[in-house]
Amino acid sequence: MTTREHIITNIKVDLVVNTKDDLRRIVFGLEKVSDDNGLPTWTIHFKLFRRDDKAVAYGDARVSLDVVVDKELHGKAAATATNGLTATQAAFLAGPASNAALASQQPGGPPANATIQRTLIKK
Amino acid sequence: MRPPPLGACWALALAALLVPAVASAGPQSGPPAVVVAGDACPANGAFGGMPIHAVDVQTPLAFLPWIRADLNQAKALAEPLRGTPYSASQVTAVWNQIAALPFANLDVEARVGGRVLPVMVSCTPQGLDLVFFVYAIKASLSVGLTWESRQRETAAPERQSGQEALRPGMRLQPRLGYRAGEGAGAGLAAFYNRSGAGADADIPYWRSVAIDAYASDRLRDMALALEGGRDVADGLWAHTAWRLGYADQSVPAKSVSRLGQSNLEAQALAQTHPLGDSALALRLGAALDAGQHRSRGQGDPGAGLVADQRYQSLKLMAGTTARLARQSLAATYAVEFGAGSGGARLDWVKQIVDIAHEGRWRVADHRSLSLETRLTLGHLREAGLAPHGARFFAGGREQPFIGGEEWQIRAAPLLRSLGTNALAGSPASPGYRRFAALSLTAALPVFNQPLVPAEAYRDVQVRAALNGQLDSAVGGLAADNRTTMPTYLQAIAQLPKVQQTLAALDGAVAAVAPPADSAGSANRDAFTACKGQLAQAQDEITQVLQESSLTQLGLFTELLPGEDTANTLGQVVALCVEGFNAGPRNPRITQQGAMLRADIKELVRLFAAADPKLAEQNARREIEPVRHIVNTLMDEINAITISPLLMLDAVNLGPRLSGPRTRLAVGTGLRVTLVDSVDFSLGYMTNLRRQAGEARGAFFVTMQFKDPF
Repeated sequence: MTTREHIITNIKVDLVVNTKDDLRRIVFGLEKVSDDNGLPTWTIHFKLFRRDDKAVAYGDARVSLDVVVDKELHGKAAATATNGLTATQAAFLAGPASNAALASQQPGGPPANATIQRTLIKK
Repeated sequence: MRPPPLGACWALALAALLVPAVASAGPQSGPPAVVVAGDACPANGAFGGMPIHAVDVQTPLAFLPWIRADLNQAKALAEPLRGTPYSASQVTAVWNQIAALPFANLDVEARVGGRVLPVMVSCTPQGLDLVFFVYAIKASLSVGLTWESRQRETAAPERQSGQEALRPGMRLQPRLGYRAGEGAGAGLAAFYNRSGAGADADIPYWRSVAIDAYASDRLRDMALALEGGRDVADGLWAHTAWRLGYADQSVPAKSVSRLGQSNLEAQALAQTHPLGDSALALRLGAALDAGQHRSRGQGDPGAGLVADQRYQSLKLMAGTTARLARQSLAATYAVEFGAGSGGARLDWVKQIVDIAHEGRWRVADHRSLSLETRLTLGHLREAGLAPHGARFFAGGREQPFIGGEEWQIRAAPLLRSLGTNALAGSPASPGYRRFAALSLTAALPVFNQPLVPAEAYRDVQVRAALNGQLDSAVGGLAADNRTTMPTYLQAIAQLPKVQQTLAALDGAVAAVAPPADSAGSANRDAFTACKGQLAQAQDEITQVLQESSLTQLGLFTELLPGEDTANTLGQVVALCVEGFNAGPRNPRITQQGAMLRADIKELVRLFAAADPKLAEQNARREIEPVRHIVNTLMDEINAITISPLLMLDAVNLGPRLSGPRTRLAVGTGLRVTLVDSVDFSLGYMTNLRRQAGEARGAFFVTMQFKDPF
């Protein structure tokens, strides 16, 4: 049986990890969307849920962000979609990147995009 | 030779009807696959304005009724794109709507869940063909990794992929069968699943009710059970389960005419996470059983045998199970301590060793030779009055040691060339007290249709994305694992002491603060930078102490020197000890700086001792079985499979009465699996060492239907 040659224009990969202590939930996603000319846009999606008591249901995400990846990091984004997150990347995303996102949501807070995109260049 | 019984005839006729129907549903009947020349498709994917010829939405478990409804909705969402010029924004809008449907949702309650949703565009002379593919991964990290779950996978992949658990409510599974000694029969299994996933998935109360009844003109078998369980991510135990069941059966048996048993059984099972390099999970279980053994044979209390007896028994089980890439294994030791006569004394002790293995060897795309091997040993010690039913009877019907599907232990020898309980000792001494039995079943698909469309399972990008998801899971779990290592916890415990050192350094720096009116001087700037860094370090440590798991790990890592880290503590040394105190000028700062350096060195030592490679190794061990499940679903599971079977049974029974010591049976058969509707097997086993009064062989037919609703 043969298959048709095809091109993947859009791809969405999402991952959820519930931590062992059951107090944190991390949802990480990478999304590639191509325009009419085939030019891709990569977006990082990230949500962090936190609770102090595992008997209580998670409420709204403590951190929820969608960051468009700079063009020069498209290769890194594609590599992360293919190779997955390393432990260092996962921890950075859940820690400093989340903090940066939280800080950016404060009035006058600094933009967090650069910090969040650092996830992609971590090894 | 006796003519085949009526039951075997209708089963063969049904198979004859079924096979052409299946064949017509195969790939030959669909549109022929086309390979379009590479230059027909814009190489850069610039599809804007090109006509859309066809659209489709595909998912591996499309055959499930509760998925089908979502799938139809997804197809209805995509359908308006057909015949329109390609517009990336419209395609993306539809894609996002499909991604929001329940069947495409990420299962956020799972320890690890993932999904991959590509849009695949291919070019045909008529225009573009769009396929929206949905693959949501939800795999249990405990019960999905057993030999038992692998056995269910081929015919019911939805159970392994976790999709079934997402569907609460009632499921019905009718079945038909024929077996020598029993005749043709019919049965029905009904399961009520309260809620397999979601907010209350972890509640250890009851989760499901199961009723299973099967009857033929010579047999009846009924079981009712209430079941519950929970999966645990942390600690040694990965899965605990309980079951309260009532069963009543009456089956034919030579020497005693009939054997019956009614009993109430309460069981508790526990399974560890996969341990060691071979990812073996340990299992322990116990069951309390009380009821009545019945027999139509003659009792002989003088010889320690009774026909009917009320009894109580304690069953203990220990074993291991593993599911590797193409192998699955279970090994169990089980013992039953039985007491009749009001439970005043121990009347029998039954011991079972049961080893099951399944291996698969790929011979072609989606075709693997599978070999199932089962070796079972049994021994019965009769210390007092033992009922006939406690003894071993051999025949074509499997007899489980405990109820339920979760841990399947064979409790009697299987000899498929004879009728149910046809090897039954003598009327004077029914049954046997020891046995060794080996069963082999080999199957090789000769016709198949893959469950997952070839466009998806052969696509390098889709496979890479799936693997990337699993690798991401390894990364996330490795980070989580590292935070539970003793030396990491020691490092975290050191942080309050580091805060004290920072406070002391802050005091020493403040004591030599440059005058406030020296603003703009290099000294004042160095002082300000040092004080800011000290405050930042204190703040970051406080955050680390308030956090847990990989969030804490990410923040903690930034405190220390490393590749591309903020090195917050190192910056304190640089700005305060080496910068502001350059010279040095103040012995107190120098002293506190030395203490801070020592603290950092200790933190780095402890952090490095929390071995990231070991953390990753453990995470990989946790995820690898899930990878096997994903790969099996993609590369091995078929929507339709027709496989000839070769079977061999060898049984050795004791004490030997007459005839050959080892009974042998060989045979052949056919297994047809339509993953959306039916699992059908039929076969004939020849009785190689036939004794007087025995048949030349035996037919068997089983037909299990999927829930039609």
